[in-house]
Amino acid sequence: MADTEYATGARFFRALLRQKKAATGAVILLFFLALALLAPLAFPGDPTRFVARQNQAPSARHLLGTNGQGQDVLAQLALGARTSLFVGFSVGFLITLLGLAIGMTAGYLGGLADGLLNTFTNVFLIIPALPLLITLASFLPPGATTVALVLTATSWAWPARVFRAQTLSLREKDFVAAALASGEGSRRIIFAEILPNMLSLVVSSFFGNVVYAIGADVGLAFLGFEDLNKVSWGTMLYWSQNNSALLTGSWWTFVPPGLCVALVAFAMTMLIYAIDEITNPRLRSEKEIAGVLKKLGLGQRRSTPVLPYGNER
Amino acid sequence: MSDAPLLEARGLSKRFSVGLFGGSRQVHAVTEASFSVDRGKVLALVGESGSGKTTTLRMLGRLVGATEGEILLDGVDVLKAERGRASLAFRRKVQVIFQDPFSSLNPVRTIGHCLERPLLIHGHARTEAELREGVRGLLETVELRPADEIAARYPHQLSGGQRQRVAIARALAARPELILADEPISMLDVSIRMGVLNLIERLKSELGIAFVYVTHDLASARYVGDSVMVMYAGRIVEGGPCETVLGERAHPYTRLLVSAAPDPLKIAALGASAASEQGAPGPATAARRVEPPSLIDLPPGCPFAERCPEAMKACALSVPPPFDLGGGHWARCFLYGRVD
Ligand SMILES: Nc1ncnc2c1ncn2[C@@H]1O[C@H](COP(=O)(O)OP(=O)(O)OP(=O)(O)O)[C@@H](O)[C@H]1O
Ligand SMILES: [Mg+2]
Repeated sequence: MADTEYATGARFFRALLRQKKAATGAVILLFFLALALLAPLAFPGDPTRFVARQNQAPSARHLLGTNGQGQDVLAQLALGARTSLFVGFSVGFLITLLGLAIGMTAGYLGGLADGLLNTFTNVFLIIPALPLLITLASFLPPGATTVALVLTATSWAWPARVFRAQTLSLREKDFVAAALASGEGSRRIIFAEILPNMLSLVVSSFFGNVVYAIGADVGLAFLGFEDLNKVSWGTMLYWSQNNSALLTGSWWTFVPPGLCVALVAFAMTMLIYAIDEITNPRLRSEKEIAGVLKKLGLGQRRSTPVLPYGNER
Repeated sequence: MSDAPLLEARGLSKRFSVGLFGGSRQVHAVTEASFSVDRGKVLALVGESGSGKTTTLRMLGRLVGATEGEILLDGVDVLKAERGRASLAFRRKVQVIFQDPFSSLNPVRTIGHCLERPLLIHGHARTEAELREGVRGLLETVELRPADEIAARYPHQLSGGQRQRVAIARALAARPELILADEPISMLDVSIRMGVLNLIERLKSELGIAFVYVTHDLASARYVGDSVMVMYAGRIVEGGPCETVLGERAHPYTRLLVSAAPDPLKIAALGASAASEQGAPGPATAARRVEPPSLIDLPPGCPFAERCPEAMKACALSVPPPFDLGGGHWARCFLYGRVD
């Protein structure tokens, strides 16, 4: 019953905001969301147009310099955030949704339905994702939709397994039997009784999936499996590599997009840690003990780190 | 509405398959339970841990399917009439209270919400105002005040006793004719057990609700029960009016059970018997130390035979049928008859 105390939506988010880790993560994330939203206003016009001589170092005119095609790196970075975050969040959402639908159905229904769905999930789990990703991406027409579909298809299975396991354990709780005895139908029992009790798991799984999707999207673009005329952090890295930025020493063409990906992943991971901490009583009490020890001047005691779900890919 | 029983179980059995790959081994959790529950009466079901009380109750409440047997509600064989899911009509008539009030209420829902749902499902309230009135009425019935304040709370903001009262209120919301209560006081603090028992008494006499009251505690069975059944290793071994059964103790197992309780016939001993659960040995420790038989390989004869001080040859050969002892009292024991 780790979730009990913080399981309700409002209380959960209030507890989340009190966390330093959560606040750090949220601030970084909001910064990037704002960047993505405001980019067209700040950088009007086509980011792929030629603005100045190639591979110019950062200057007052072009804050992050220009790339190998004489395009403004900062404009590309800001507008590229739109593509990368959009793909990341929508794919993260799709993966979570599909995982929930399949995992919870299997876990709640049990029996034959569970057997079939679980086998199906396991098949997807053992298919090596990267080769399938590349195969699918090279056969389908390039574009954001393809990327979204491919990423979703290859990565819903792990969350589905996690949600199934959680559903299996919640299903045995007496409050589910009580709902059944009250005459509730299956759909309401799944979505109104069981699902709210998995809120923290769902939210942290979502963040983990977003991180994965952003990373995978960047990876696919870097390998050239995406529409390379479209500006995104991934295609920026592709072109940077294509123009031998490492050899020419134009670090400003690859460090900024790489750093952005890393920062977003960092922010999400902070949020996952924070969720884990407020819903896992053991971590919470360890923190309290550490606080007391600190007050007594006894310093901090490091404990075994507990990896949150999302780092296990 | 004659004196036909409200609910009747006939040859109810439950076997669980255990082990790897669906399992070829079977746990005989309940074997051929037959009994009836009268309107407005409390039937107590007593037995030690693992004797199959909860499984019997869950079958009656149709939370698990029966492997064999019939359940007749108002004379209708419900397992045949409604295959698979129980109908809403059945759910309205038969409600369940669970043993652990800390797991029987959804932690993310307010008390108000958890009482509104059955009111809505069974059509006892439709508008906001009706719902609020209904919830308030239910909370007042189970003596939880101030009702409005309690309704706004979450389960973790209530004590165990208060939660159990909420669980009772939820059962009442459907306006049932029968409530199946699984050890409703065993997880509660000794000081508040009497309150919940008295509430059950009151619901029986004022609302005419029948109860099946499961317990391993003879004192409370005697306190609320009109009749009692003693269960051992999945079988009901003795049954009848409460005073007769606990007074005459026809079956040797009933005798053992009664002698093992500190002072089984006094309700004041409720607390004391709770203490004995913690392992304080009762008088009959010698007999108690024998393990109950494995439910996987049932002996061909009486399941109690190897622990029984009165065991005869016949006991190991076949399961004794119920022998009538008069006045509705019966026992499955060869001390009271023979089969030829
Ligand atoms: N789902 C299940 N799968 C396998 N065996 C089960 C299952 N449920 C119960 N059993 C077994 O059935 C037997 C009866 O269990 P039950 O819970 O009905 O006993 P009980 O009389 O309620 O005991 P207690 O007083 O401890 O609650 C036990 O041996 C138990 O291990
Ligand atoms: Mg039980």
